[in-house]
Formats: sequence, C-alpha cells, structure tokens
Amino acid sequence: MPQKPDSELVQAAINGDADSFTELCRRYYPAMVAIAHSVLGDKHRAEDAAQQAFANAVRKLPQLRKTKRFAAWLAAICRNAALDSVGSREKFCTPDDLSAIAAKPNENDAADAVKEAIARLPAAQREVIFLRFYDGMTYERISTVLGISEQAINGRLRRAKKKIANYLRRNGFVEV
Amino acid sequence: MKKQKDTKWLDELISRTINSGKPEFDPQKWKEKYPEEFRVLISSMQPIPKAKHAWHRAAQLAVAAAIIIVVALIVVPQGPKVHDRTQELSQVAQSPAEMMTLMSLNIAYRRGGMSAVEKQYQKAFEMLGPRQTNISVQQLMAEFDGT
Repeated sequence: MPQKPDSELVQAAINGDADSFTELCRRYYPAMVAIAHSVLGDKHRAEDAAQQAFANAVRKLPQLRKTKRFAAWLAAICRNAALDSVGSREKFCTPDDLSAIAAKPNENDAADAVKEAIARLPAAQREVIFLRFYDGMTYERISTVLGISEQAINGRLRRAKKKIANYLRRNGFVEV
Repeated sequence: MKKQKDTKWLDELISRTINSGKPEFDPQKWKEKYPEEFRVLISSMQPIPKAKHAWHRAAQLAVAAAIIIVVALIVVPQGPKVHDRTQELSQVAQSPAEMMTLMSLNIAYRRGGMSAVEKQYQKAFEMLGPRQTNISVQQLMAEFDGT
C-alpha cells in the first residue's frame, strides 16, 4: 500500500488527527535522531531531543505554510531542540576530547579516530554523514529531510568523507 | 580505482562507528512524556483550512451584499406612480399654459421621465379641447396663454 504523502498527513494532524501525527513521527524519527545525534554526540540524548522536537512541532504546526516541506521544517526544529538541550550552543565535542585520539591503528582506535574526525567536520557535513550512515538513508530521503538537492547532498558527503579520510591518514590509519 | 577502494573502506568504517541500530518511535511513551502537547494535538483548535476559509469569506461577502441590496430597496423612498405625479402636477398647474412652462415640464420629467412629460402634454391638450387641423403657431400660443 503506497504511503500517504506528508502534506496529507500534516493537514490531517492540523485538524486534530493524532494518528496522522504519529505516522509522521514514525516516518521521521530515525532521521531526527540522526540529526540530533550529529549535534549532541550521544544517542540517548539525541532520542530525547527528537521527541522534544515533535512536541515543539505540535505547538508550531498551525504556523506551517508549506506542508510539503514538513520534513525540512521538522529538521530545523529538531536541530534547535538539540542545540537547546546542550544549553549553550556548544559543539559536538571539545578540542580536549580530540587530543585523546589513539596512535595505534587497531579496530577500536580506528572507530575512535573516525568519531573524532566526524567531530571536526562542519555541522552541515556532519549532519549529512549521520543521515547517510545512521540508517542507510537514500539521497532522495536525505534530500527530503534537509530540503536541499541530491547534488548538494552528494557534494557535502564527498567533502566530508575526504576530510575524514585525510584525518585518518594523518593519524596513521591506512585503508584496509 | 584507489579512490573507490578508499570510499568503500571509509563507508564501512563510518557505518560501523556511528550506526547503533535504527531507533523506533514509541507513540505511547511520547504521549506520557508530553501530555500537554498531545492534548493540544487532539483538541483540534487549529485554524480552518485555507480552502474552507476562502469559501467561508466569499459566502460572508455574498450575504453582506445581499443584505445591502435588500436594505437599499426598502430604505430608498418609492414615490407615487408617474400617473399620480402628473395628476399632482396638474392640480398645482391650473391652466394649460402653466402646465407647458419649462419649469412644469422639468418637474414632470424629474418625477416621471418622458412618459410623465408626454402625459402632461396630453392633459394640457385635453384641457384645451378639440382643435382644428390647420392652426397657426400664433393661435396655438394665444390659446396656451388663455387669451
């Protein structure tokens, strides 16, 4: 059975249909958690922020003019909710955390190094990395969530991965 | 080729590092955590959808226009019929000469249009009685003057 379009669900939710809103939440929860995780660096806090974003969205729903752009609108709310949850708009992790990168290139160290490399990325690139690799989202889906073209997403992903690869090489990790 | 190999290696590494399982949304927990927002959601206190709103406004305008027209029809005074006005005028203007003055004709026109003027002429001619077919303008004017 084909999915109902977002705009239809949003309109129903505006008219008080809780089931439609729940369907929208189910549809975008992983993406919102990924976005919040890219800001907070912690999955549990990211889930809290995503849920808070849905609560904020309920309040702001009547203000939404372009119902087709619901996902991008929700993503913006989620980003703000995540930033609010860290109090001051601090970054994904501090430079002190970055100094703890391991020098030995074993599997766990590689994962840590990747985390640190991701932490160093600009917020927009880090967000795309999380959306792409958190739940294996397609470019089309990421495009819907972020409200930008697939070409732009491809560009951001390419630049982000290049930076991560360079970072890993500089720190003694080589491709397997 | 090397670039492709790099990307694949990186993709796997990034995926292993940040992918910690697909999060599932639990609506029941969300309702419990945000009861106020849930209440707002189901209270359906949102504004009327745009299409309905536009229709509603158009209907309001149509009703308002209809009311204005009806009120205008009721309020604007409807004077007596043209025939009555001509009669009124004839009562004021006693002689055919008075009825044929520019002022009398003007008043008749204002009150009843060309038909009232025509009736006033007819009335004046009736008062003058039957005329001979060939009559000079001088004779006609003399009769109008009542001389």
